[in-house]
Amino acid sequence: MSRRILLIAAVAILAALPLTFGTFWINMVITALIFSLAVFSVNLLTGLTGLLSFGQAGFVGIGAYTLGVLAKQGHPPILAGLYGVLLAMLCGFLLGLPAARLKGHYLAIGTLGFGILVYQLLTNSVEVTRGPMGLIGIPTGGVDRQTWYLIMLSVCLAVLAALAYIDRYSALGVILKMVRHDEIAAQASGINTFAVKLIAFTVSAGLAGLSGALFAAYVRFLTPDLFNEQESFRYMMMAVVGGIGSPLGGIIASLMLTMIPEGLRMLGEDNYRLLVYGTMVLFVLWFLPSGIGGLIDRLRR
Amino acid sequence: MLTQILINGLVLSGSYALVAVGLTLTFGVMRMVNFAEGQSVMIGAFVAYTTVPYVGYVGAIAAAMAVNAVLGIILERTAFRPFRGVELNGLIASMGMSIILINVAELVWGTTPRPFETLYNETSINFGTVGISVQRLICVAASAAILLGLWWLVQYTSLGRKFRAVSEDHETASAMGIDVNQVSRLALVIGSMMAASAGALTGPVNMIAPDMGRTEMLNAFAAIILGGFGNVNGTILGALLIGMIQSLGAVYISNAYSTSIAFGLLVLTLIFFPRGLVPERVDENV
Repeated sequence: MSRRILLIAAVAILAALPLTFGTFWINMVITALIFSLAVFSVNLLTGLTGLLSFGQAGFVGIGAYTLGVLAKQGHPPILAGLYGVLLAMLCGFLLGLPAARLKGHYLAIGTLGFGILVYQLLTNSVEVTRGPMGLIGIPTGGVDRQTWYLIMLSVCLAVLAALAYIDRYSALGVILKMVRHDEIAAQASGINTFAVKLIAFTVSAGLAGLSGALFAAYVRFLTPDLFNEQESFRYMMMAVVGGIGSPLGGIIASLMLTMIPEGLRMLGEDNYRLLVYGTMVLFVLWFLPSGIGGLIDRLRR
Repeated sequence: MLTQILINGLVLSGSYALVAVGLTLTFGVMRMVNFAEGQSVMIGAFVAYTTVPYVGYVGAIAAAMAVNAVLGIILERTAFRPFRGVELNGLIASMGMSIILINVAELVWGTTPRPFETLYNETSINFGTVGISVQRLICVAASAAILLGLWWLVQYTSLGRKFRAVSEDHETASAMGIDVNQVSRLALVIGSMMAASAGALTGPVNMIAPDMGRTEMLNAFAAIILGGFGNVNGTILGALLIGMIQSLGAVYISNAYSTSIAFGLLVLTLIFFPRGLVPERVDENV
């Protein structure tokens, strides 16, 4: 009972927090929350199911550009976003068909290949995406920052709860983890591992697509460079720093890895910011091998 | 025309093969992927660029390899040894190192691409109607020589036997008295030095910039996967295939699609051969 009260109090504090923030910081928190959806997609795919993907930014890009292009053609943004998520899921399903048969590094580089193909397609199909010139002024209704924060907070908490539910209480969670730990044993117990992996790919792609659609709607400016393989690496980094199996750690890591370097931006020189970023990642890995999620688990016990 | 496509393809293949074989060597010995290998190429190119006015081109290549040998030791200490057995963390740590290296390079050399001029860039030899710059010929010859040297090292020296023993089974190897840490360090040092030579050799052909490691490494990955992870001969075959097809594609399709071609080929290959063209032997516990 007292835990429930604690939880409600925590959510209330989180919801009230933006009232105390300046524009700069609230902007940062919203972006970090949008990223954390993509990090969740890595948690689901790599943490829960054990499938390594370096192509998540591809799905994020598909979601973002679908919303951007369709909204500019006059479709309502919510519908366009929905199409974006669905298209990302479709691509996830199609990528899953060959990728579910790949193992380890082959899977990692194969998905990396998918991400690069999406990036190159976004860059080179100038008639649709305007390529490197960028898609500017995506019309997405006038919602102010406070509301955006509340929307993002509720979306993230909902996904967090859903992932925790799948992880702890559902049969699907047991099956996913079994596929990760011992695929052959899972097959021997009558689990169709191919289908399970396909589901994981599709749902994860949907989450990444949602992250992209929300990004496009919030930032309203897209260039292909926002979705290149470096971004996929970044999501993977955030997921590992957060503890690969822990979405809660993932959200904290994406907040931390977005806000601390951005805070340092005030010191000038972009390079120092990224130096701090790289060093932070190394330090977390050295001293917290199971990431922030591992630390939370230890504190809980 | 054909000669030009052939030579350009060989230049590309040579540098991809140097990077990819370095990656494969580290992977074979440590079972870890070095995501900072592309940055070793970049650092190698910049060190060569900085030293070439003082020590000449050959000296510059040597300097690049020496600096990268040290870099290999640093990488092994920071990103590999702490994470043995925790593959994903090692991967992320090498990405972290890669971010650090790019930004250090940007602080030292700036972000704008620079031309890397050597004596051999200007002079060219005529083959029938086309002139090929001496630099490109040096690239091809030197890559082939270095790869041949590595092959000799792996096949016929005691260090090579250690490499093979550790990649076969590192526990048994260490039980036989092989210092696995030392062998891993040497694998990274050699891999890093090969990357340096790739950077120093192809730097003058293209421009050099702190983000040049990116495409270099992506193409090397494609070559490795085509060839089959951990397999040196397969990797060289993969590099040849990708370099040649990119060189053809640059003439007949467009330069903008060269990475797409490599990875399109890669994705296609993986659909039909899920373990590469020359599959590695994998033990699975049943």
